[in-house]
Amino acid sequence: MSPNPSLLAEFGTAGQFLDAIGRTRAAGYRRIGAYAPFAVPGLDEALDLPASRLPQWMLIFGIFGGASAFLLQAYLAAVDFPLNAGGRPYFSWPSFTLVTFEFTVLGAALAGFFGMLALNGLPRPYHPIFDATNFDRASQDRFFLMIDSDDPEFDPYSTRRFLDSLNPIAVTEVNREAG
Amino acid sequence: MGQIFRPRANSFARIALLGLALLIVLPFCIGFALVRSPYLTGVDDVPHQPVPFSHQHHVSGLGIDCRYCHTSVEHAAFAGIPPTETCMTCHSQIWTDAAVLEPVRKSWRTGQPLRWTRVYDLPDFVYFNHGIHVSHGIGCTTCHGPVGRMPLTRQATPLFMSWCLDCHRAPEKYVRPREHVFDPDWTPPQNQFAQGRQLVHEYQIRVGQLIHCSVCHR
Repeated sequence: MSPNPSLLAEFGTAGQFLDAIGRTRAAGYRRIGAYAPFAVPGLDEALDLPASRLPQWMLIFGIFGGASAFLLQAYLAAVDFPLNAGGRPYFSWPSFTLVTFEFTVLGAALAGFFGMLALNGLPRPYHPIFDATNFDRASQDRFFLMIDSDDPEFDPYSTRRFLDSLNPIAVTEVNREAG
Repeated sequence: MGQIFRPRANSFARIALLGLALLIVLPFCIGFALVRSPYLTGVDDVPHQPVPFSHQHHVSGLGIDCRYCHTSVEHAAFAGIPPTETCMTCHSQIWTDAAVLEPVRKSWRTGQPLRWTRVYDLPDFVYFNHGIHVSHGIGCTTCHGPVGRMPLTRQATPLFMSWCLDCHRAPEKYVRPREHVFDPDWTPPQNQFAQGRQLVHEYQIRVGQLIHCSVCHR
């Protein structure tokens, strides 16, 4: 038997949207999805999202990139093939810093880009929520608030009544993802 | 508006992302493998020669010393390929009607040298010097392989610069006593490292300076 469809409320302004999220959380719902065409200021605080792990990954991979670049240069110049190039010492660390810096940036940037995709579960061309009425406007001019049907507080009738009380433009159903 | 993509597009997207990573990495792997393959290094290639000269027959069979034909190897940078005259010292008398030797006799009659195909062909920006290696205890077979057991001459080593440098950094791994340089059957003794270090000292091989650019790329 397929589970209850989740409920999706559509809003016209970011203010209404943020207000609705606050009231939904106050009503005890925790499994909330928020979809907006732009990064709404205050949305993270309203949803009380946990801090992203992405900065940690970027730090780790930045340090990894920089350290490997520095060690590679030091190994090549001082251990593997020591060459007298311009009379400099073999371990000329000041001249290694430039490449080290660039590889720190590269490592952090790659970790940021691919880490963002991984943590977001992207790329994901198909998602059940795209079936929802009017949802294509979520990337244009409408704000959507979803209450997942596996939220412990969820009830098909009372939750719909609650969403209606938030004065949305419309409340529609979203089939939960199969599997 | 609904779904543009079908559910399986998610799998496709992820596989495509993985494939993109492979697409970037794979050419490098193929390149690294290819330049090290005998296909490009020429190792074990047996080029066509005008006469099917057999080192096996002349070295192992008849016991001719390497220097009988490659006369300049101890003194000059270029070891040289023997002229027709060297072949004819014997072959004017023996196998005088052998068909395989007709190009040699023709060269002798006309004065046109034989067109041997080079097996070990270094790029012309590498100035290899045979004399210095022979005089410092690097034997023929270390670089040219077991020539005395080659019915047709083939390239035994890849001639990578890293292969040259391997010995120039640590010649004690390969250096042998001078009296065995032209011994086609010499094999490294059990104590190669100890003996090699001793020989490096004895022959005054200047290890630290052997990897400078000017040693080869003059």
